[in-house]
Formats: sequence, structure tokens, C-alpha cells
Amino acid sequence: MQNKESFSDEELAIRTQQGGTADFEELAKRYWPRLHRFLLTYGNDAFASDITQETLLRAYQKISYYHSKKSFAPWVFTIARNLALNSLKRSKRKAEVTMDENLTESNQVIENDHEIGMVWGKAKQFLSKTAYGSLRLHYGEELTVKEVAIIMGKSEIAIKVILHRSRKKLAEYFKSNPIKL
Amino acid sequence: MRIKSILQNKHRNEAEKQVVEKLRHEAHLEKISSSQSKKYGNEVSQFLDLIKDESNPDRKIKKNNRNSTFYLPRLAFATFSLCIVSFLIFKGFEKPEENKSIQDLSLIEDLVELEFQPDLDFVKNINLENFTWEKPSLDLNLILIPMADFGSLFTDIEIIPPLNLYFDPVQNLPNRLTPSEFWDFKKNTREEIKNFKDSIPFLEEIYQTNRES
Repeated sequence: MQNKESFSDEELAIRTQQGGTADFEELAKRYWPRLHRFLLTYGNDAFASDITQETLLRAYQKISYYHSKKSFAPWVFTIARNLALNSLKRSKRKAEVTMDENLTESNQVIENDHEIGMVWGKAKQFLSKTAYGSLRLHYGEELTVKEVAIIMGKSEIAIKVILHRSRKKLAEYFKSNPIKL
Repeated sequence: MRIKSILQNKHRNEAEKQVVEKLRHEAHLEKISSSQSKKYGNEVSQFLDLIKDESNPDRKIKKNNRNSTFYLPRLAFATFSLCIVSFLIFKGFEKPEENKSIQDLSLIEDLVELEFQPDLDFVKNINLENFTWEKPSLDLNLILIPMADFGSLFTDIEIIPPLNLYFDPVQNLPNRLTPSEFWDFKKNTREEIKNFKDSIPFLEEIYQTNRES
């Protein structure tokens, strides 16, 4: 019997469609940390964990909608982004009522600095959510510009421009605040 | 040069190149640490338990039985709209009875005898001197009858407007006549009403009975 680790993401997804829960377990192991890191774009560690769980659960429930000829990563990252944005909308409404938004945001920055690297931390601090998310997917998760464009709901040119501006902004910052690798 | 570098998604200078290298390097370190992380291991195992629970058919049944309050207002509105539409269709418009005609004296006779005895005063009290040929400022029948006729083109039901001609013939007919037609109508109607009264032999008796009662 072939080891599950040797299967590609797409193969595992197709096997899950055919009823293999064990194949989805392998997918969950692969994607949990990737999704968690990406979802730190939109909130703190607890938020990222919740949405990661919800994303994978949703992916498992809706696996029949996955198109076998397409790449699995953009599909699951798109679910993650949509769920994160919906959750943010809901929490924003709640925060407007409780007037607690500023407190939550400041806590998020402190917690996130422990979760991600220093350069990524600075990127999160200086860039917009879209720019940071695009940077994370392209340079962190090594997805192509086309895949990033699908996930972020933008054109390829727009993503290229966002990546260019982000690189430039970070380069300017590290020029004045040099760091060692 | 700048546009070219954007379209090719390449760094323009050494500083940008360094940033990209740092980002990639840190991402690589994160991947290594996450693969060894106990925290992720625990979270994944918890999630896998959740999936197993989700696969359980008993749980699916429970989930399907959950009531969603989100659709209740929509459902209430849809039901209300349906009630209104049903009321308008079935109550607002009546299906005509066959062979019912204003000129059908035998039918009027039956009605007088069986159903409309208390209302016979309307025949007795007709006084044509009170009517003029002038049209009222707003006659709803002028609007409703063409609408009803138009509506009848698309359905099998003949639509009778609310102001029914059958039970109010004298008040409505003159409004649709020209002045000369009106005077002719008035002259002829006197005779017709007389004939109508004469055609009901027991009419005077009914008047008598009504007065006594």
C-alpha cells in the first residue's frame, strides 16, 4: 500500500471525494500550519486557530465541490480568506457595540509578534492586510502570482503591483533600520 | 524599467532582493518550527476528532434538525404575500353565473320571490326624475370595467368589478349615455318599469306584507 505522504494534495482531495476520511487527515496535517500562518494576517493566534479549523471543516464538508483538475491550495486558501473576512465583519459589528475594538487590535499585534518572524512581523505592521496576505502567500507559501490573485480576488497585475509596492516599502524600512539574518 | 520589473514580478534593486530573501528565509524557519510544534499537533488531532464526529450519521441528523431563525422573517413575509394575493384572486373577483342577465325578467322574478323580498323597495322607490344625464366626477366603473375586461383576456374567469351592474342598473346605465340617449332611456324606462312591476303579479301583496310587518 502506497504511503499517504507520497500523494499530492490534489490526489488526496480526489481520494477524499471518493470517501477516504484518512486521506483528508493527511491534507489537514499538511495545511493546518500553512492556513494558520496565512490567517494570522487577519487576527491573533486564537482567531487564526478558529478559522483554520472552520476552513478545514468546511473544506471537508464541501469536498465534492472541489474541481479535480485545479490546484487544491488556492481552493482551500480562498475558503480561509472568505471565512476570515466574514468573521471580521461579524466581530467588527460586535466591537462597535462593546466599544472594545482598540483593545482587541493592540492585543493582536503583541500576540502575533510571538507567532511570526521579525521580518514578517514588520511586514504585518507596515502593510495592509491585502498586501501582507499576498506577500505571505507568494513568498511564504510559494504560490504563483496567478494562484495568489485567485485567492485574494484580484487580477494578476494588481497582485504584481501590490507585491512590488510591498517589497519597496519594506526595503526602504530595512534600509534605515538594517537587520541581520 | 520599473513597469518591466513589476510585470516580471522581480526585485528592482539589492535592497528589495534582500527583503525577499529574508522573507523566504523566515518562512522556511517557520515551516521547520511548525512541523516540530506540539501545539499544531494537538490542534490537528483535535480537528481530526471533530471530523470523525462529523462523519457520524447521528450527528448529521441532529444538525439537519436545527432550526434556522434567519429564514423565519422571509418565510413570514412570503406567507403574508401569498395570503394577500390569494385573497385578491379568489375574493376580489367572482366567477359569473351563467344565464344571468339584467333583462331576464323571469330570473328577476325568482330573485324577488326567493331572496330579495326585503329589498323590493328599490323597485318601488325608483324615481327617474332624480337622474340627470351628467356623468359623476369619478365613476369607478369606467376604470374598473376596462381593467376587468383586459384581465379576462388572459384567464378563463370573467372578472366582475366591485361595482356590480346587475344590482344597481338604473344608477349606472344613465352615466354611460349621451344626453339624447338619456332622454330616450328615461322615456322607455318608465314603461319598462311599469311593465316590470305588472309582470310580478304578487308584488303589491309583498309590499302590503312588508308594510304590515
